[in-house]
Amino acid sequence: MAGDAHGPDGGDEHRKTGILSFPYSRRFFALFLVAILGGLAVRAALRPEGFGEIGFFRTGALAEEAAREPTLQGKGVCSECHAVEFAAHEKDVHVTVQCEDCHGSGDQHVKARKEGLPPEQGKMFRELAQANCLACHRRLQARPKLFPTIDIGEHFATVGVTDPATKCQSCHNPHEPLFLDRKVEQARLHPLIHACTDCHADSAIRTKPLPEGHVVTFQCKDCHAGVLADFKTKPHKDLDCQMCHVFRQDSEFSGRILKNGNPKFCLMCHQKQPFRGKGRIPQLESFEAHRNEMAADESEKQNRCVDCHGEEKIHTMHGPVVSSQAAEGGTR
Amino acid sequence: MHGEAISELMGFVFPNEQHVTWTVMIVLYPYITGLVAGAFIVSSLYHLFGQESLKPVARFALVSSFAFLLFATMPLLLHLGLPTRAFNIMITPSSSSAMAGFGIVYLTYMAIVVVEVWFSMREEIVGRALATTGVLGFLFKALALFDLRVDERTRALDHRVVRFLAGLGIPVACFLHGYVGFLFGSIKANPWWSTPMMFIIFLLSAIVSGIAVLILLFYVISWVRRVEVDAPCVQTMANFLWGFMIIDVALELMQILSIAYQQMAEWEALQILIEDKLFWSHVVIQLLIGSLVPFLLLGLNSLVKLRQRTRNVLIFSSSVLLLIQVLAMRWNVVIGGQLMSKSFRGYTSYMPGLWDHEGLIVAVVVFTVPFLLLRFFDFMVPLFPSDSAIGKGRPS
Repeated sequence: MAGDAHGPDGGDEHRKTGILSFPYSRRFFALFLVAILGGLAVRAALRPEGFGEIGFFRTGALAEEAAREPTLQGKGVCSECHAVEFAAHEKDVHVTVQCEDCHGSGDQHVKARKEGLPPEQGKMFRELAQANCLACHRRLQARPKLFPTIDIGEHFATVGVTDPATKCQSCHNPHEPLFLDRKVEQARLHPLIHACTDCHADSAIRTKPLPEGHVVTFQCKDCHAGVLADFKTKPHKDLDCQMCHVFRQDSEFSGRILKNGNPKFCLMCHQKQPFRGKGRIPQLESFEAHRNEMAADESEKQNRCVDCHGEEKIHTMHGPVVSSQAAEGGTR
Repeated sequence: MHGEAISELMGFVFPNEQHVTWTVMIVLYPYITGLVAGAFIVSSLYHLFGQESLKPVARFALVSSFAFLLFATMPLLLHLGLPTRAFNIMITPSSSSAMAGFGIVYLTYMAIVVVEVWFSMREEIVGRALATTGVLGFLFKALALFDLRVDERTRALDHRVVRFLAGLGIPVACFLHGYVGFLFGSIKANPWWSTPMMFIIFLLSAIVSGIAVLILLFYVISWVRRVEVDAPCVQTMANFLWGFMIIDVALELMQILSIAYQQMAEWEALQILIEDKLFWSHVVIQLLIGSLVPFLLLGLNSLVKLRQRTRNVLIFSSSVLLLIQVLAMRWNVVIGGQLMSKSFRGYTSYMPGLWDHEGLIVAVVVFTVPFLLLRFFDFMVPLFPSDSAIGKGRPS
């Protein structure tokens, strides 16, 4: 009967039976021994050559690693074929972000193109999801305060996006996120500035008065009070100064103001898009058509948005308050 | 990173903490390993500690332990980007690697269980070899190592080997699962994990989940085979389940109580973790539904005279709840520890996707496979003693 002897005391009378008394037990333990020895032999055979000679690694690994072809190509290699994207990328704020940070390593792509293989081979990853952009640009308390970060819900509400699945690149071109019309390094130097949200998580803090005894912070209104007072009377009054005048920190004390007159920058919010709600933000079907329609003569057909709408919709740009800035380059 | 859901954040979270990297697969790893250790200990209660009433389930417990053991590392391999590299911890184990230590403990335990299963099942294998012809018959003969002798002397020898290995296996089973607790307990930067208690709590919860899964399977198999559930057997398991769950839950609570009472800096953060981020999985599921309810039900079962039918309901529901409790405990440890920022001032969130590479469907499949394997084992060789009701009810 199966299991008859499986009691805790069963089989005591047979204690004298040796463990190797039967062929099956001898075979089993022989097999078991073979399995252990085999395992050790396999392990010895698989143990890499030179392992442990000078540390917990293969001695040959050093030379092997040194001889490996790098998988990352560097943006110089990308620029050889993608000159347009490279030129845009080089002048804008993503200049320090390598192409392969977003597109993935390019070794197979470059190899396939050099060998003239069909386009399907060595194809690079292109479609970026929100999560890819938000890996850097999500608002986190732990991020440097002047690094541009957003809360996606808040940002969509501000710019009138109603479809939460809208991809960042529907408005922002990752190759030139701000459509700067000059190189980042050529933008005007500016002392470090602070916003309430640098320290306070709740963005509603901006509308509250500074309490007595609050630490002194250098803010836009300290130098541009006149512009700000005028700005508060214009339709863009709910925006932060830095939403258009993006500040890029260079050091502990200073950075550069990347204010921008490129129409593409304005069109990030004002271009009609299927994912944007109607009504709150004026939207254009076509910037070129609008400009041609409104131009009184040929010279006005080159106008930028700020040339016509700056004073009326944003803030005074040519008055005495900003005369010193106008002398340096106006609304650039 | 591509296409991933964006986690909800609260407070100050460092950029590298937004994403929970140890997923539901790492929750399953200690859960399945726990079932291995727990099932083995039930088997040893009979083989070594003379719990005669557990005879109908002893061998089944051992084979269950083997089936779970075969898949204990599966979630880890699925989690790894390059699973083949896992074998490096066996080929070139580092003395300073906790995971390499697990590899050695796992292999030792596997060797013990394989030998014990073979000696414990030998008589049934021989029976199948004698009753089967053709290729299958040859395979059974090969599995019996071409020696089909079965008599009192061979039974005595088999029993001695099984008993010796049951004794040897208990400390190794304790190490196997305690070691999983050690892996978490030794991460000193994380106050939710870093406690020597983790070793003991993991071990006890392993025993609880192992007994619970065996009770559950025993009931299900009895119902499928339309035989009466062996009342003394389930009652003994239920008593052990009650005892072990009391110690387990008491230690789980004492661990939290000791941090709370010490009022160390980390308690401020852990309190929010428990009361907010883990409220449902820890307070509601693990403590109230998973611990308090089965404690009362099993207490009722052990202390009050009841009809067998009522007992069955109490024991079965307690087993299910305790399996959920231990799963919730693994979730709360593994995921909870990653939800809290090292700044102690912020939290992230995690919910596995349904169809993700490490999502819920994969988790369910990984957890189901050992049960299917058990069914296959039973199809090949009867897992229950033929003199027990459940063994007699085996479908031909």
